[in-house]
Order: sequence, then C-alpha cells, then structure tokens
Amino acid sequence: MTLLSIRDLDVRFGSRRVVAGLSLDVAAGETLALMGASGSGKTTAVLGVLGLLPAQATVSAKTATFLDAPLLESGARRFLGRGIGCIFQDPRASLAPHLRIGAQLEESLEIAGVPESSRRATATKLLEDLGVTDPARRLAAWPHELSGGLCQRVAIAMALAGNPKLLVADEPTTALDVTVAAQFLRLLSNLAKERGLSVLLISHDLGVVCAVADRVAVLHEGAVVESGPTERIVGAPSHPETRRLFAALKTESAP
Amino acid sequence: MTVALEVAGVSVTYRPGRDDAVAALRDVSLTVRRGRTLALVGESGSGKTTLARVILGLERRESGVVRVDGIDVDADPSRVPRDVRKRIQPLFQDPGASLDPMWRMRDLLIEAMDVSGSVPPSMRPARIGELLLALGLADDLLDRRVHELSGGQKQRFALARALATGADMLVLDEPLTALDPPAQRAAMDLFATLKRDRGVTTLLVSHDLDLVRTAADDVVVLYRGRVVESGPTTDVLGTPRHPYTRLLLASVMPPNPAEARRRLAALPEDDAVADPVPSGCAFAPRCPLVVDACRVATPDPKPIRDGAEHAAACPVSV
Repeated sequence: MTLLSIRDLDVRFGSRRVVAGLSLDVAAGETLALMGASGSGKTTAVLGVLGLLPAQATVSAKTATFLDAPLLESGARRFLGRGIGCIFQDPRASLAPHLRIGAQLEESLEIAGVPESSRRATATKLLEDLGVTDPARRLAAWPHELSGGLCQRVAIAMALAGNPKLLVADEPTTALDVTVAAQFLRLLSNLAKERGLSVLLISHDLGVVCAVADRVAVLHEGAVVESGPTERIVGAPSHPETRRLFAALKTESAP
Repeated sequence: MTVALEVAGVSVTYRPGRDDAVAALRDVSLTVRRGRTLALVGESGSGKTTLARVILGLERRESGVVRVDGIDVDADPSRVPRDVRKRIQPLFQDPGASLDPMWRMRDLLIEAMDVSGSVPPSMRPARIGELLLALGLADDLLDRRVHELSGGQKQRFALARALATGADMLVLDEPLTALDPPAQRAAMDLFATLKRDRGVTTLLVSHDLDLVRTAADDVVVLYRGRVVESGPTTDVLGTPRHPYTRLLLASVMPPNPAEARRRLAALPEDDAVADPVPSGCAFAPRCPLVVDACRVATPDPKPIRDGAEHAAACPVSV
C-alpha cells in the first residue's frame, strides 16, 4: 500500500526552480532514504510537501497524496502531529527551552487528540517504549538538563505522540555522537519493524542509509535520478550522478 | 624521536555553580613527537576540546604541566623563551570566525608576522608567496576579505596565518566539520602535505574516526575526562583493547547494507546518560565486561604487553 505518493513536484522561489519534477512513493512500513549533494533539493522537497516552506515558495505537483488524501490543496499541516511525525537535525532546536519536557510532550498529545486525563500516563509510556530510564524524572526536567541522545528520544516521542503512519527524519544523526547515533538508528529500525512505521529519511551518510533504508532515491537538481532497493543502488549504481555522489561520500568516510 | 609536546598529569574542574564541580579532565598525560600527528578522540563531554584549550593556554588547570621541547610553558617567565607558546597555533572548527571580516587576507598575514616578530619586513612578501604556494592559494585571493572566500579557502588562510607566526605545531579542532565533501578531501591532502614537507607537529581533535585513521600516527581515546586507550593509530583502531574504544568503532556504520545491518543488530543496549561520573572506572555502567573491581578503583592506562606503546586503562581486557 502506498502511503505517500508524489508526482511531478515543483518548488520555486521566484524564478528559481529548486525542486523540478520530483516523483516518489513511500509504501507502508518501508524506510525510504532521500540522498543527494548539498543543494539537490532534498529538504526543500520534503518541507514543500509538508507545507512548511515560507510563503515566498510556490509548491505545485500533478499529485501529492498521503493515504489517498490530497496534501497540497487542503494543506499538509493538518497531518502534522497526527498521521505524519517529523524529527530534525538538532533535537534541542525542536524543544522549547522554557518548558519542561513533560509539558512539551503533553502538548504534542493534545494536538493528537489525547484526552487531558490520560496525557501524563501516555507521555510516560512513550518514553518508556523508547528505552528512556526513569521517565518521571525526565518529564520533570528542562531541555538543557538532558543529553543530546535523550533530547533526540524526546523529539521522537513528540513525533510519535500522534501515532503517525509516516515519520519524516531530516538528517537525524548529524548532531549526535557516534554511539548515540548508532542507538538512534537501532531504535528507528525497531520502530519501523514493530509499529509498521514508514520512514522518509533525509541523509547524506551512506553508512546510516545502509543501516536502516529499504530503498534509496537519489536527487540531483531537484529531481530523482535513480531509485531502488538499497542493496542495488549502493552495490551497483547506474546513474552517473549517483556514482559521483557515492564516490564523494565514500572518500569522505573511508579515504 | 624527540618529544615536541608533552602534557603531564593535567586536571581541570569546571565549577558551574557554587556547590557544583565537574571534572572535565582527570590526570591526563600524553606526548606528541616532532613531526607527528596525534589525534584526541572522544565524544561530547570527553574533555578533548578542554585539553586542546589547556595546551593553547586558554584554560586554567588545577594541576599538571604542558611542555614544549621540554620547556614548561608556564614556568617563571624570565626563564621561558617568549616564543615557546607562540609555536603552537590553533585552527578552530569555524575557520572564518578567526579571520577579521574587515581585513584583506594580505593584511591579516602581515599582521601575524608583525605581532609574532617571526619575519622581518623585507622578507615578508617572499614569505607570503611561499605560504600561498604551500597552501595551494592563488595570489589574487590576497586582496579579498573573508566573506569573499569559500569554506576551504578560509581554512587555508587561517592555516597560512597560523604558519606566518612561525608556528611549527598546530592544534586542529574538528577541522573538517565546516567543509563540504570535496573541500574535506582537499583539506586532508593539505594536512598530509604540511606534515611531510614542513614537519609540522599536529594535535588533531576529532570524533571522526575515518579522518583519524587517515591523518593520525597516534591516537589518545578520552572518555569522561580520562585517557582510556592510547598508542599507534593502527593498533588502537585496528585491535582496540578498551571496551569503550570497541563500542566507538562498532557504532560507525559502514557503507555496505549487509554489513551495516549486521553491525546495528549486534549493538549492545546502551543508554549513555549524562549522569554524574561514578566512582571507579567511568565506563563501568555501560561496560559489557564490567567486574566488581571496576566500580572501586579507577584503572590507569597500562601497556598491553611489556614495552608496547599501545596502552589501555582496563584491567579486564589488558
């Protein structure tokens, strides 16, 4: 079953066309990695579909649907915090510094429609499910009191509060230490398996993509130039841009 | 081989509040031999940047000594040559931030020579030409200001400025993080050239194990302010002995789907929380090999066999 389907997505800033005819599908339960050099349009495309770009951006597509509901015409934001959860590069930036963790998580649950009486218990359960020890203490903590790894888990808990079908993760490990990043990837792959969660992962780390992605789509100048199963794309890339990208990334990670 | 830089028994404690004390470094010792590159490896909170700042004289320490060519840099000023400290120059993560935005590159280089007294005025144009050549920078960039340079060019000018002072030791703090992949490759080539052609001694601070593997002769692994493992790079990263070094290496995902998935599945359950450092070995709460003794005494680094340079602070695995 196709969860997210996009055909011929265009994003323009004035006369500048940043995303140019991008098409992709995310099936239920699958993890799709969007890869591409800086400036290839990965983040812009995703933010465009989710309705999170500033008003100067013009977003259009032949079709863009989430669970067969149109995304662009009716505004994708109604799915945020419900059918679609998002996590971003810097987990601390997703947390308001002046609110305790519990209050922020409960706000996400409120948006998701969880009744007030059960929010605290649900928040505790969410953190427990994500392997956070002593959740009561974490809920009472301020963001600055938590390590980067814990902040990322709280950010995931907030993204999962609305019991989403799709998790959008934009460079989720870049700001994390290597051991914390590895734990995060393990968590992500378990969530995909156990909850049947689909993940749209934006990453330029080939190791990260290899560890968790079922399929890879490679972007160049705002369009997908190649996509397929991770083993095939990484093992035998056919498009010259894919080869160029992987050559740059491999030299970077294993010169 | 002569020791260019020596750190012995350095401890640093931060006091964020009146009753708080955070041990950032505890009894850290290391030596960097002339012309070699030593990498400090560790995660956030390991103390690697604090140690770099101690070496640069930017951090107050409560104990320990920093020696350059055997001279204690903080000894009685009347007996310490004035230029000892200046021979070590830093290159920070964001190279643009250390270049004054109002100044042209030429003037920044001249100022560095002027302040350090490293090059007499008549020799300066020749010296600048030589530095540009060594760092792969075109002459016409000298008339630019920092906002007109690419990330890689900024870093090269920051390096040129450091070398213009006459420094022969560099402290590189996460030197690749601000660069895109092509500029990263070029920077790595440049560091190798500086080492080979100019015999520059380097302390490299990085959490990027692939960079360390390529660029460093020797490695010191820090965990929560202590040295847990040290030795030649091939030994420490090739046959790691300390469980923390092993965890670090096991956490890097290789660019191969089957191998990456295997590694992810084999990872131990691990909750690296920033709670106070326990007594005994700081890694004990996360350690798969932990025994009761680990929670009592803090292990010191010991050679893995008699006479070996490779040392690890783990009585269970050494």
